[in-house]
Amino acid sequence: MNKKVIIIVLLSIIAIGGGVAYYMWNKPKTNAADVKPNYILPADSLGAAFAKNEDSANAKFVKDFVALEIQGVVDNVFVNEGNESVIQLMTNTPDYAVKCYFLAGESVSANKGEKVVIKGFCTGYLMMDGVQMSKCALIK
Amino acid sequence: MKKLILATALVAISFGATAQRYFSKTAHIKFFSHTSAEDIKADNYKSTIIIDQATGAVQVETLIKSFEFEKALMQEHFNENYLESDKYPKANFKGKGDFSKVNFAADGTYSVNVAGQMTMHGATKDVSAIATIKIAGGKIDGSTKFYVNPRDYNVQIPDVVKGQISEKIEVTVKATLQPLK
Repeated sequence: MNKKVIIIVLLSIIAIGGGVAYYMWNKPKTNAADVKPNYILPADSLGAAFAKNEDSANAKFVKDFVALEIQGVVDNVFVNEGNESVIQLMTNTPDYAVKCYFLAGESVSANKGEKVVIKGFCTGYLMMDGVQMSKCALIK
Repeated sequence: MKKLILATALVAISFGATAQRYFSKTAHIKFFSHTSAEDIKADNYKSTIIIDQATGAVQVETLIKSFEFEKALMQEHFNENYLESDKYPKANFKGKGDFSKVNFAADGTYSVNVAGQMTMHGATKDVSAIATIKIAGGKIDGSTKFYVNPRDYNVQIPDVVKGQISEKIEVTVKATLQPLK
């Protein structure tokens, strides 16, 4: 192999590597819309799982790449100080509502009492607040 | 005599009613790392705080995966490599502050010493800070700032990025508190 070919191959590898690194560094935040859910369950079941045993619910649901599809009834819709839209779903367990957070700047349209299906990633449970979901996408 | 007993009971009840608990479910926790190579910041607007004025107890909880970074890749590294949020999803602070001097019913600004223990990444360390409670027109705003060293919480930072992550990370907490009924 002559030197010219080696140089071209090396430059190509560097260019591809640089391009991949640039893409990775600047890749946009994405929601769970196109992710296949690992679990499909009602909001009430998710709240109940955390109320029953937070550690085991964390071990099951709070994992990278573990997406959830949640069915529930809208209790509240608001935008927080971080410009994140939030849909809060009703559950039968007090203090264990499911709060679905959307990416900052994404607007959502839902009304209290409406039945919805939301995909997202569970981030855990906070005292007095409930179960939180992030990177959510309103499916229907 | 009955009137006196009734009046005493009412006074006792009203004093009891002023000793309240205050909370926020939308507390903002920000951390900021400054080095000559890079500034890194992350925000979490969904943390909870509860203060019990009677006992002085203060408790803060936050979910690690709820911190938002400017770059998606930074957020991934923070969760997967540094804070290991699958294993340690939550951080919390439990402590006490002298909230008895705060008159939550009237406008004013107070500095309150708060001290306790913060648990993060499976490690628990003593933390103390001065919190400011500002009451204006019925709105109660609380804020504080303190510094943490990632090493104290067993956060392993690879040599290759050590120059980019400060050993003195500034943590700011801000919340608008409401009475807990």
